[in-house]
Amino acid sequence: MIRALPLTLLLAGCSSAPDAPHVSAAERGAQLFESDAGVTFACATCHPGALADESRIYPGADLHGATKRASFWGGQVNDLLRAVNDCRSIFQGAGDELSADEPDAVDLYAFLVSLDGPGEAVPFGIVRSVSDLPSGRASRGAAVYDQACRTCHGELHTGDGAVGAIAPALPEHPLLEHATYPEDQRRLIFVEKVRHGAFLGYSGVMPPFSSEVLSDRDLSDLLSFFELY
Amino acid sequence: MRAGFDVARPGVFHGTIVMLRTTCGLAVALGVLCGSCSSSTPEPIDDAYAGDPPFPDLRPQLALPRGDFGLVSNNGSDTVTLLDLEQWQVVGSAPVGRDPVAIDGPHHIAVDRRAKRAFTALAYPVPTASPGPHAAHGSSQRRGYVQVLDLDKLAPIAEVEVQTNPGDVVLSADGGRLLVSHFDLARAQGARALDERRADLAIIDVENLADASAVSLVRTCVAPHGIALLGESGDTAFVACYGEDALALVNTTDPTQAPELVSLDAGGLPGSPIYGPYAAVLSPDASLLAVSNTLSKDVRLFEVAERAFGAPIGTSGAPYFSAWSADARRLFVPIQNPDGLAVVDPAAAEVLSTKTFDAAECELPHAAFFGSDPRHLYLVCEGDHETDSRVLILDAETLEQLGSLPVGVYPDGLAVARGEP
Repeated sequence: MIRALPLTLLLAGCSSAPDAPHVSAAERGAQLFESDAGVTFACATCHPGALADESRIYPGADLHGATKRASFWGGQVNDLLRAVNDCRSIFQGAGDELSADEPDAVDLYAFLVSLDGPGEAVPFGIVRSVSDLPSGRASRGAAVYDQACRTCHGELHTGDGAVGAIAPALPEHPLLEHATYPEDQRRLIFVEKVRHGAFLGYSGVMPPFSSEVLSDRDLSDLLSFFELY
Repeated sequence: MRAGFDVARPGVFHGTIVMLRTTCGLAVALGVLCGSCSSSTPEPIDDAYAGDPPFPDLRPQLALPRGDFGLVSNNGSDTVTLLDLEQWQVVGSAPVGRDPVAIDGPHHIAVDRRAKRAFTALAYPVPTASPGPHAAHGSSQRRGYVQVLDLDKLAPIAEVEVQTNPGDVVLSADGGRLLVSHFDLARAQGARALDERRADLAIIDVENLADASAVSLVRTCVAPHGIALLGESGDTAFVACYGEDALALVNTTDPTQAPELVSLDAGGLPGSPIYGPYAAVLSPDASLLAVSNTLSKDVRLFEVAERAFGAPIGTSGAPYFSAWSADARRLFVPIQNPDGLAVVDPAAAEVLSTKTFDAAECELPHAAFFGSDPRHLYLVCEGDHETDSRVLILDAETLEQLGSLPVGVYPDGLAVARGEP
């Protein structure tokens, strides 16, 4: 603070100079959270942040209180930095891991600190073994698509507005890829991908939707919307 | 909009050290005052983060018991549990593994009390239930890892890549050499040449884990599993060769040397065993090796000096990892289907008694261990592989259950660290 004083006095002599805005670490962290610079997807693609769309179903947990939580990923990880780096390597295509003391990591941490919350672990129920689901309501499935799928996969059928070629147009693209599968199995591949994402033998960058954020009923409605019955 | 980051909140992160990222640097300001007196918008000033150190380690510190303690690898819940074997209490449990979603399957565990670290193998087991229609599911073969854990918090601190399906993990008494077998049943099958169906034994230089040369591989036998080490630094390894009905003797000081295989009688064809030697446990005086054969449901005692097997000792169920009494006069053999514990008299080569367990007591007993107290026998129960299971504490004389300790899903290993002298 003392070192900054002479310059402050000098600048104060310029009556017409506007004050330089200060940007806090938390603000910079917020920008990082929302930005996809240097990564394939932003944190905010999957996690609700400051600019969250209330109507969306996010696969990633709400991060309020994250810095105080004992565990992440449904208890599978108990180290926040590792949880961040897991996201970066698995979903965001980052080439390297953040270390605790590098500026981006510090700013991101400052942002997370600024998110008040209870600090309790967030349930994250992975549906490891999938099964066929009964048909649902297609009209409700349209809403599920808008809330959970559209941000990444774009418009139904065409994929217009998708986050990139890595998110295929639904439902045609997966159906084409599995054209030889019987009808029930073609439904199951959607259930499987939604529940497992990039894990459990799958590749890709899709996050899994836990049973807490997306119910089987939601999935049934979505499958009906896709006209898979 | 959710209540979240509020850019208007003042004072939350006031930097005490001002970092000036401005085109008007100090030198310029002292000279011509540059354009700061013009109407151009000044560059923003980045305030440094001034909160508590970022990313603090919030993992609870575990109070390592001064007496005997045990570490249990919970294969089905990706956790390791620390047990106080004198107070008969659970000290703590922590997640291990590398994959935040899939079951990493920590399979068996070894501990080094002096170095305050443990070693568990991540085996990535094939799910027992079909997870979905995709071909990759259930048939994918992921390479295994050995994860090194710090005993203070059971936090992973290092890892070493090994091959698919790591099986047993054994540390030499001096802590310098870690051995990992690869129980690769997929590799054991098929029409490939015998050498290709045999799997490797990984010999790991613990003190130089970061070096590329830390892992030496010895092609051992078909589907090797249980390992027993001879000597303070484990210069000789006995490996139960499940898929080849044999015992492999490996010179761990010279990985280029081919193992000596000692067959159990005629045995089955490689890949189609009839005995299925699965576990190998050395007696306290290192004179006898108890080899458990899960297919033929018997235990064979291998005389180390003679390098010869004794007659089979039939058990009513499939035998797993046994425990020797300190005087080597009794061998306690966990058996499965029916579940129980057989007490063997090694000198007479016969089963003296068998205690059976119902599912509520101990489902699928997997391994037995002694600590410092010869009166107490610890028995790891696999359980139903779906819910949390337990470690039983038994009276070694009467086999009466004295207590039980809750652990995670599908426990399959217990590493006992004797108390501090």
